Amino acid sequence: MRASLSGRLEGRVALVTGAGQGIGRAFARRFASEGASVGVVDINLDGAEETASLLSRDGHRATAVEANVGDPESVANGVKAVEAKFGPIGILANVAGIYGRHDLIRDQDLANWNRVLGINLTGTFLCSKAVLPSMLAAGWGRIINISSSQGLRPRTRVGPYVASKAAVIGFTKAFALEVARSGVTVNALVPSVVDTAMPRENSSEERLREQAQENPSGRIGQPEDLAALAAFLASDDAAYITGQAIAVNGGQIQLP
Amino acid sequence: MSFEGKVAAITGGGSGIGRGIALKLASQGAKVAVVDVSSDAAGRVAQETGGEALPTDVSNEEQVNAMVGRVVERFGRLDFLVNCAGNAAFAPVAELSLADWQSVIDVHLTGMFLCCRAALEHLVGAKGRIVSAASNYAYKGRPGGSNYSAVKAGIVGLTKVLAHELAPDVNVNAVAPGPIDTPRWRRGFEGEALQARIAERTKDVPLGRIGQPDDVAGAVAFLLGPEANWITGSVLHVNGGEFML
Repeated sequence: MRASLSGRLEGRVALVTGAGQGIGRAFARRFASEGASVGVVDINLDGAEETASLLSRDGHRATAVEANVGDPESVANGVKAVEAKFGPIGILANVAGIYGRHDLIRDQDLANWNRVLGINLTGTFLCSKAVLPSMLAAGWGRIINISSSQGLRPRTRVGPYVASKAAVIGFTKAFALEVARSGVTVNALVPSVVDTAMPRENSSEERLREQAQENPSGRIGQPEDLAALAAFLASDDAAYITGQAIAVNGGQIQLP
Repeated sequence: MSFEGKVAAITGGGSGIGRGIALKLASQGAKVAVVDVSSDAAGRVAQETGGEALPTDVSNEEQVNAMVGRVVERFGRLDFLVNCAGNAAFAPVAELSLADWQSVIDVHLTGMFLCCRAALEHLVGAKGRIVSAASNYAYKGRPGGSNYSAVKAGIVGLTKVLAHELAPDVNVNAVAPGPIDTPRWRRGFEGEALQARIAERTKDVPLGRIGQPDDVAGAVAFLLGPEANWITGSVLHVNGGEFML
């Protein structure tokens, strides 16, 4: 028995990376609640399986796949596994991302730089390439990338992260242009701090409280806030929106 | 997504994008107040939506205050204010009269200010939303459009200030449409000439088509709904990829 919220994504197949927890998990849940079958991809198989069973328990179609978005072969196998189960992928959400080591750029090493760019930016590139043939064949696709307010109005000590998130916007625009005539839209979310494990591990309760107070909305983000925007972008109501970097941050930063 | 029980006032609701928004919101259960300077147009859309026609010149402070009062009297509440009212008077600056400059400022920008100011106590009480129609032309210029670009950029600026002033109760955002197929845009073009105009206008649109009022309405409905709980002070660009910021 399938339960779907609004049915907007009925019949669609979505692949969400980083779906083992946090924002990715929220995306998987949201897409599933709107009728999509979901490929739950994460480098951490336990997390992916936990997400997939949450979805199955709610009567949705989900499959957990272990993959490293920075590795082309792993990505290709992951896409194949999802499509073998559910058919051609129509929605891709590139959520997998890491902060990397916190340090001034002058003290950052190449290994960390490559790791952060490898997952946040190259992962987005590799996954987009891997699902594109199915989207072109169908004449329909939705690619949703995750940038960050840090990418445009950064703080210090997360240089590689900032660079990767700004680059995601450039990639989003270029790719959107290239696939526009094929029924595929590509957009990026620009969130500020979201209540998940990643900021909690890298910050303090006090700092997160401060950030909530500094935010015009009086709170930090919840994964569901981002998932709701992603679901809109995946829907037909957003068919004329492409190449955009869309702020979802309680008004923390105001983009043009 | 249901707007059952919600009340929306849409200025410029009598035609084009405003009408498209009114239809969309009504189809999702909202009661709509169709605010337009043309009583004929407001009446027609009110009939289409089962809503209320409120002929109003939004550049007139008294009329705007009376209009908001009438909405609240009729429907008991006000949840959404959608600012679409706008006129046009194109001429290069060298030839643009003060009257033509001022009239565009008065309707688009002062009209938005007056409507927001009149509505805001009700919106705050209802934890409602404001969405206003900006434009691509808030960010780029075209010859003859000085007053238009000025007011559209002004609408973005006012949106951002209101977002701060009304946080956390009322989310305030704008949509920036690209080329949209409306009666005003068609402006007397027909048949082959119209097709040529559409082709010319969309040759640089990546998605390869002109937009429809429904494209904008979908974005507005999203911004008015619970899915946009954490979105304020933003501009949502609905332009087929013609303009990427």
